[in-house]
Amino acid sequence: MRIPYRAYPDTDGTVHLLPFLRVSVGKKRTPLVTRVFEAMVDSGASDCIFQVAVAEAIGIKVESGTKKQRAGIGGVQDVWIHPVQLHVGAELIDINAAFAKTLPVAGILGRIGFFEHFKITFDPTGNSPGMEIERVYKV
Amino acid sequence: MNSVIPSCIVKHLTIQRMNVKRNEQIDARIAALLTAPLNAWVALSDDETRLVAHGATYQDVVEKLEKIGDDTSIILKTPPSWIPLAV
Repeated sequence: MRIPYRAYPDTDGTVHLLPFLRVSVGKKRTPLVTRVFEAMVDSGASDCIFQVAVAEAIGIKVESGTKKQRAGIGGVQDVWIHPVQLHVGAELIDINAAFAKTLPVAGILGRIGFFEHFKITFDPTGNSPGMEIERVYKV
Repeated sequence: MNSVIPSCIVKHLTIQRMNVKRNEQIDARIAALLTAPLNAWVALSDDETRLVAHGATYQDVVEKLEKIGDDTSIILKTPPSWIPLAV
């Protein structure tokens, strides 16, 4: 399945096309699931990180999770780990996600929890930049 | 050079340099995002051409969508500034 990159503005008037994907997050063993939101596909991220608001929306008390830290270009910040279900189209995957109080986007889809389940081919060439996404089932 | 620059930044620079053909849908999405408040939660229509709702929190936006019976819009978090992302 090919997903077109999503357009984001820049302060200088240009447009950036970036690899964002529509996902939602569900609370395990419940019917609770967030609305569909855009998350950034980032092969440089260690795991999947979402805003705390995403957890709160499905009734997860964020600070009850295992506290860890994650380092990014903006510095080090605390995150809390919770088992959740990641919805990507029709696919439903059990993952351990990190929830952070400060992110510039709603979520980041990283290597653990996302790239280990999908083969992603970034294709920024041509007039229709996008990514090919294919579910991988491990035996 | 690539070995010392995080992959997400390399990816972004590649995209920034692209000569991408703009179309009406991209222009409409950009126009909608530019009318949205920064550092907020927003909802775009399913075709991503209209700003449907916005609020300070995710819950604010969900409540506004529920009030108008909208179950198809897509939620985004806008950054503090529209400067290029490097997370």
